[in-house]
Amino acid sequence: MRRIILPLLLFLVAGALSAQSYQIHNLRFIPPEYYVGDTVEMSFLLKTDQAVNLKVPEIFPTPGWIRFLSMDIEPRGVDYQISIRLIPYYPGTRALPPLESGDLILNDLKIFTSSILDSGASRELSEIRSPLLIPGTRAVGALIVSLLLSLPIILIFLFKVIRSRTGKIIRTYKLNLPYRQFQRLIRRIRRTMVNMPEKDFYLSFTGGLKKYLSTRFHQDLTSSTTSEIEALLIRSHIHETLALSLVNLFNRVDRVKFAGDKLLYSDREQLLGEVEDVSLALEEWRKKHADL
Amino acid sequence: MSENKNLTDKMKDASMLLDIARKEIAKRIIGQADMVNGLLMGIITGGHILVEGVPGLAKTQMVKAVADVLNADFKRIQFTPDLLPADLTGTMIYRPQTGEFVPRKGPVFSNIILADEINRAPSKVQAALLEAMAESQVTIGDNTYRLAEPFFVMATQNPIEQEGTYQLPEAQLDRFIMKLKVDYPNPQEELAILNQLDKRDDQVLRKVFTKYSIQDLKDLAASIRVDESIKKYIVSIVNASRVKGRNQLPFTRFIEFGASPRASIALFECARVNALFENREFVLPEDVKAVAYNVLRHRIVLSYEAESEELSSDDVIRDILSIVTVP
Repeated sequence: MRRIILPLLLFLVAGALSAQSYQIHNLRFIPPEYYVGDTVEMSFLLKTDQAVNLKVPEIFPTPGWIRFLSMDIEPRGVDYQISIRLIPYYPGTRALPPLESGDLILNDLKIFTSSILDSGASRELSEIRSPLLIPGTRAVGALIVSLLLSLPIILIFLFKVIRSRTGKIIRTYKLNLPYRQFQRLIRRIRRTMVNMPEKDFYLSFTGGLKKYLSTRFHQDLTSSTTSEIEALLIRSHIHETLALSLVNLFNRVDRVKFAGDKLLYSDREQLLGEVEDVSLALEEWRKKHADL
Repeated sequence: MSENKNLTDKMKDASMLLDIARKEIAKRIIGQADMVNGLLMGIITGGHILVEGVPGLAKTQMVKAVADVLNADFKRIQFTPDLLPADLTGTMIYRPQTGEFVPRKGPVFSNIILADEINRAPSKVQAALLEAMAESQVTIGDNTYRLAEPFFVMATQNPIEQEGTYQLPEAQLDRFIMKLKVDYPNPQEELAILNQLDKRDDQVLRKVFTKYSIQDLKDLAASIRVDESIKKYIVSIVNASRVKGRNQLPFTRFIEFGASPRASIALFECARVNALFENREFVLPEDVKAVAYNVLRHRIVLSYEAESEELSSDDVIRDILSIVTVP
């Protein structure tokens, strides 16, 4: 009798040890609803009565209707956070095959795999559905559509900005053009004045200066005399010194052109230097006083 | 150098002389400085002046004052419709004592003549005076007589009351070196006229000029330098008045006939005298512009388009001057 009772007792103790109890909490599926063939992550918190040692099975069971991809076990004090990644191939509720995870065998885990077929409906073919979109597709689409819709406005805005900027650049270019042309003329005169007859020198000099001043005072000065230019300069309220310098230049040149005064080569050089200074001062004045 | 020095001195003397003359004339004539300058300019250039202005602007007083400071004879001829050429130039009169015809010289034999309201006399009288002006001589009977030196005519025209007048033909107008326009004095001048009313007639003017000093001024004006570019400028102005292409220049449609070469000569001479007035030994474009209105005013014949737009010769001259490039 003793020979029978002892093995039976040992068997029951062993059975009791192997059938340790555990509870599953916070069971979650990502995604919450999944279909046949979807990759699903099943996670839960495993609580046990006693301390157990859990480990990932070396070989996952292969029942055919499900494929285990991976399993993570993360201790949380005496509990364990377990994540199992799997792909179900059968719709409906099914229990997972037992998973030997160290001291415990997880054998009461169930999953529900949704079916795209409505079980209550007829077996006829469903209507064609639009393809499933990956998350964010709609947002990106909306963004693209709004961009496309706002594109004309953006283009118009850009066009206006570019036009305004280009206009400003062109205006500035045109505004400064007479000064640059006059400077070029002065440089050309300086290069060629060695062989230039005296009268030609002064004619081209005053011609260029009058043309330049015409653009600055918005009045054709080619038909104006020195006294008329003087009156214009006084009316324009430019600085008195500047006006006097300009009038003085014209008066000196008038004496050469009409009174037959002789001026040396160095005088010509000096005259060109003076007119460069005066025109530069006039440009600075103009930039400060836009109404000039 | 010494010649230049002499010229400078002469210019100073002339300037002083002219200033004194102006001051003397101003004792009797208040304001009208432009007119006084115009008269002096006419005398120095040896030309004659046509004056247009309403009555009562002291035109006669002015020319009398000028005659006084010039120490010259003065005659005033009132042109009327019944005036005959002989009333102007003179005629042969019969002398019973000797039984021969002797010349009796008319008022034209004077240094300074005021031909008042010249457009009221018939054209043959006008022609007689204008011939005397052009040739500085008058023929009476078989004899030709030189006119006095200096010989200066100031003819006046009244711009109003055109009824029964004989407009001077363009060809005869051209003989006047300048046409001056006299305007009303400003209120200050008019007040000064009233204030001087009592003593004005008693004012005896100093005789500033002599026959020789006038000739000196003429010689001095002739010695003033006129650069080639100024001559070209004068020609450009006169030529601009003759452009016929209606699209070439904006003002051409307002001109029926442009100025004659006599206008170029007048511009040249008057510009020189203007330089003399400015005490300058050379002519500037300013001088040409300063005299252009007076010289060209009566030489440009306006078209009906100008009349329809109520433009005057001065408006057209202003357009011409604004388009011709100054050297």
